[in-house]
Amino acid sequence: MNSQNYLFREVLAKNPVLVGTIGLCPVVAICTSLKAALIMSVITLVTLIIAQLITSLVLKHLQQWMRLGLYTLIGMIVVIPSMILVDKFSPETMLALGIYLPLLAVNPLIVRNCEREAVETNIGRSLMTSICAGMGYSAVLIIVGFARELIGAGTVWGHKIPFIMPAESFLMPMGGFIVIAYLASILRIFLRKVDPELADELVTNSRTNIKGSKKAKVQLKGAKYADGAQGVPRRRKPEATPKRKRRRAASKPEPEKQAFEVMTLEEAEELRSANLPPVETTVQAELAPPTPEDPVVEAPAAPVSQRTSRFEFVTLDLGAEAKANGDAERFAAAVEESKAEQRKPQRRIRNRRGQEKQSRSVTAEEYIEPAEKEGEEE
Amino acid sequence: MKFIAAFFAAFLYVSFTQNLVFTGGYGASEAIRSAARPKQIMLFSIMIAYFSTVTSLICRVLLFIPALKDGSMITSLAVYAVVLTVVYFVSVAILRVLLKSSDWSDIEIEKFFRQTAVSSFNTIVLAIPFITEKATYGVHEAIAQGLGAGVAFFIATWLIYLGMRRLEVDTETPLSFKGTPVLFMYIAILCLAFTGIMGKSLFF
Repeated sequence: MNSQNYLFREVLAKNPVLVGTIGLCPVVAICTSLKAALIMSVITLVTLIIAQLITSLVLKHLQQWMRLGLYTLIGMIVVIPSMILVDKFSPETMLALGIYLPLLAVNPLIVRNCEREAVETNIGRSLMTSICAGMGYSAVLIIVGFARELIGAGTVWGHKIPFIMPAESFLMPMGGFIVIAYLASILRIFLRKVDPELADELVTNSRTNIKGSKKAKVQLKGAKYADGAQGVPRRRKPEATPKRKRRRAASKPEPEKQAFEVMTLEEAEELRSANLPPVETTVQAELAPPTPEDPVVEAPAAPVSQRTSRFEFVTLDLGAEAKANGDAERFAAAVEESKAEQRKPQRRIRNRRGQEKQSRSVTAEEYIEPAEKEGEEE
Repeated sequence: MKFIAAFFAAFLYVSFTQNLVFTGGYGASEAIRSAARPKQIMLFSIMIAYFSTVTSLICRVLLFIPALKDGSMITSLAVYAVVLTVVYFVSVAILRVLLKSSDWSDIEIEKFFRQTAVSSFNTIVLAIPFITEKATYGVHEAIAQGLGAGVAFFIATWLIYLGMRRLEVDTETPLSFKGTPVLFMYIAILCLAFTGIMGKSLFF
């Protein structure tokens, strides 16, 4: 990896704020002016470099729970001289920063970088990553500070900019979140142009995806998003926990007992000729197997068992009147109507890549009961 | 009666009226990261409540020392950071002894201590003693602040989690906003809602 690529990846693609959602407190709360943002970014950068150096040299030999406790003290050691300097040269900024400046001692960015880089890698690489992470963080701080000062106060570095109506709400944390939301979005668009794979990875492996949920895994070919981009959320697979299995089994309704007789066409004809009082009768008709000339019919939505069987069950009420008249036409029409009814619901089957599959009828032998299938997956 | 009223007023200010996460941005990154792990929200909030209460209480007691009370913010930072570190080490030492006899594996114990560290060294925890000092709160109010910080964190995390759950399956969101950007937008709206309760910040 060349140095340009390394810098691009560390500063932009691994940006602590816009990608990693780390160290948001100073960004949203205190970066309300360019001056404050510059001071905060310099202190953060220095703290980060010193903390990583100390960790690489000394702390990495300690146990993790001990190291984690000492990062705050290191942060404090760097922040205190910075506070003295800021207080000496710009007391009004010190006043404006309030308690947020001392809170830089517990910036989670320090802990994350020290634990991920300083402990795992050598001192040179650790130093490089700390500079890159600090640069990425500082860049966001400065842009946010500039934007919020301009929109919220209508000034830049304290100088009034004409024709700008200040929107003071941007000086509150809400404004900070809106600005970083737009920055993160701009970064996403930029990355999509430069490195689409990396941009997709940011969506699928976002820090803000709920852990354990597969809903957020996005396939980037398929359904259309509001901006015309392609992507469809994957369907979540049912978790195979025994508890869930028991609950599902308990909620499953018991199959109803058949309240009608099943008979063949011939039997139905016999019944019709017998001139019996009206009863609800079911006629079982074997359909001809599909030929290549037949149009491809989309698979019906539910229940699955109905579309997978080669047999179709037709329920008819053979009333006394129909029987008396020997209404064969009405019977045939009812069979056709029932077949059409079964073909009505359409479900588009997609494969994992989001392409539509051509549906086909499944024979009874091929058909696997959903309960069996679930058991196999588990 | 006045004592109880003051206690609940401080508690409600921190947790609801001036939710520290939404109106001050304290612990915002931890709230987002915890919301992505819904099973840990409660544990994390309890830890934050514990550390902020104990630290706040100790720091408030230390403020009875005149030198510290009249000291600058730099002195306060030095004292509060040391107190927080000591509270962390003592808590971890006690927990290590307690967990030794439990049936937790070494990996689980290490994971738990990592969480403990993240919840203790947090802007929301360190901010509480500073707020107590600035608002000149008493000891009982300092305790209420600590407890309120935990509740505030829990409310914020839970609200963020609820939004996350809906946003991750939403296909109406433009792809360039999917994930982190739209979540920031959602939190911005929550911030606006909580700030709207008071209209201005009570503390800073």
